Formats: sequence, structure tokens, C-alpha cells
Amino acid sequence: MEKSDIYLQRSGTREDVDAELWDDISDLHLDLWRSTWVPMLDHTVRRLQSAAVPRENWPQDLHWDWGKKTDWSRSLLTLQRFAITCGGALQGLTLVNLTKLTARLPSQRGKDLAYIEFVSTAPWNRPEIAGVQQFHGIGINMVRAAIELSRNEGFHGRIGLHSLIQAASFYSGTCGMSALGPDRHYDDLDYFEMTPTQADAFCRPA
Amino acid sequence: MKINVTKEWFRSRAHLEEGHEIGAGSLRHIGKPALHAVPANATADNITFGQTISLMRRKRRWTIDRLATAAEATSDELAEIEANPECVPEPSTVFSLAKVFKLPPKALMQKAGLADAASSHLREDSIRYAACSEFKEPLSADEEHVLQAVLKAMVEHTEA
Repeated sequence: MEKSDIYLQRSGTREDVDAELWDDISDLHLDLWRSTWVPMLDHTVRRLQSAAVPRENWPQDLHWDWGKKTDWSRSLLTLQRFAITCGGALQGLTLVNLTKLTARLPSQRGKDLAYIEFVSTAPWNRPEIAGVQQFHGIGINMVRAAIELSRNEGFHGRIGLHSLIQAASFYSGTCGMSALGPDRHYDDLDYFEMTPTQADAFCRPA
Repeated sequence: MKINVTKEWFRSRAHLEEGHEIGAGSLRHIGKPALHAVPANATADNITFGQTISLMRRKRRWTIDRLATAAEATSDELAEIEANPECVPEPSTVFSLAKVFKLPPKALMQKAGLADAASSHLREDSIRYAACSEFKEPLSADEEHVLQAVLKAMVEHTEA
């Protein structure tokens, strides 16, 4: 497992802090997920239940089991896992699939891409759960990792993903990806793609 | 795999993420499942592999988790198989499902698009007919009829 030095930004003060991007999800990362994320997510579920918030209004990924997702991905050579840590805490997890989909944008149709199967950030980095973010920058680092993986595979930076509803503005606005609209095969989630040109632009300083 | 992220790049981009939720991926286990029921005009030829598995599972009144345990697969993988008509399953999973449902592995492999199909247009037709529905519903009489026709067709194809 290799580590890359990256940065996160402390929300509020916008102070840059050193962080690590790992090119796998280790058992230690899963232990951190179980011991720190899951209790907070369980608490969120109980809070939403007691407040009688309709389930369709809950954060959409509260039920995700990263233990199962990781176990599943370990049996498939075409899946690449990433984890981000900072200060000894697990800040984000991602699963990227290199063979699941091909590009749908007319200019790229049928070409290989790196498909981001799942992305989650720690509950304390989510305004929807914690109210405020402790760190931000996890999303752009994960997208950058997927682009670099795509380039390594000869896919020229092409990536694709189905965005959770609450995250769509991040992929279109912050990342500059193309929105292809709701996908009826994926719970009507909005599908986004990034072309090689868009990837090059994203990897340059804004 | 190492990536080279400069502080300059990060600083120019990071603030744009502030206040945003980050997340991507399938929702298969909450809300409206995007699993596929059988359309009214389904036949043994145009039903997809995923729909076949869904019918077999629902006939037993099993959850996806229970089938995952029986087939030694993951719930995510099976949810994907049932929901996505373009999903190409792992051969080992198809063999496990054939064993669980006591179906001819070769016929199920063909249904899954992992072996030479009798006719390539069948898979295209199957994808065209895929549609969303709730996944816990018991089989209707029409669905039961289609399932029996699929099973008969698979057995006959294997014996031929």
C-alpha cells in the first residue's frame, strides 16, 4: 500500500493541514470506520427517526457498509480503493472501478473511463450530519486520485460517477464535470462525466 | 500508486469545496429500490438475467442479503445484478447462483451473457424491456408464468 502526501483544509480558518492518500483501504482504516464513523451515523439515524424525518429526506448513504464494500472489491482486480487520513483519523473512502462503464458523452462515447463506484467522507466533514465541516478538500483529492488512476490506465483522465442528490453541485460546479442527467438504471441519480480536457483543467491550479 | 498534489493546486481548489456534501454511488438498500420487475409483455426470451434472479429470489421470499449468504456473494453485487440490465456478473457468482437455484450452470451463464448465446439479439431485447419496480412484492400470476417459461427454456436449451 502506497501513501501520497496531500492536504486538507480546516473549515472556518482555512488552514492547510498535512494529510495522507492511501491507495488501498486497510483493515486499520476499516477499524477506524467502525469505531468512529458508524457510531456517529447510527446516532444520526436515531435522531432522524425520533424527529420523524421522512426517509427520503435522510442523507442517502447512511446505510453504507464499507466493510462489505471493501470485502467485495478485494475479490475484483478491476477495483481500486482509496482512503484519506489526517491526524490519525479516517477522513474519506473511495472505490473506483476500471471496467464497469464506458463514456457516454457524445465526444467520448464508448471510451474507457474510471468509474467512481462509491465516495464517502467522515460524518464530521458533512454539513448535513455534523452541521459544520471539520475539514474540506476530501472530495477534490478523491476526484484527483480517480483522474490520476484513469491516466495511469491509459484512459486520459476520463472519469464518471453517479452523484448522490446532495452532492450534485460539487461535481458540476467545483469539479467542472458534465452532467448527463438522471440515470434510470441507478436510482435516478444524476450521472456525471469528466473528459480528458476537463481533467486537465481540473488538475491545473484554478 | 502515488499522486503528486501540490499545495498551490490544493489551495486554489479547496475553498470551492467548503459547505458541499460529497458522495457518489448506488442507493440500492434504502428508498425506492431500482430493482427490476417483469413487464407485462415479458417472455422467456426477453427477460434479463437480473430479472430472472430477482424472480427466483422473490419466489422463495428471500431478501437480497439472504441470497447473498446462500450464494456466498455480496448484497451489493446481487443488487447490482438485479437492478442493472447491463451488468456483467462474475462467472463465479453465476455458478453459485445456479447451484443455489438448482439451475443448469451453462444455461444461466448464457442468460448472463457470459457464454455464447443462442441469439445475440436476446440480450438487447432483454435490456430494452427492463423496468423499475419494488422488489419485495411476491410474484404475480404473470410473473410466475414467465418464471416457469424461463426455467423450462433454460432446461430445454441445456438438454438440446
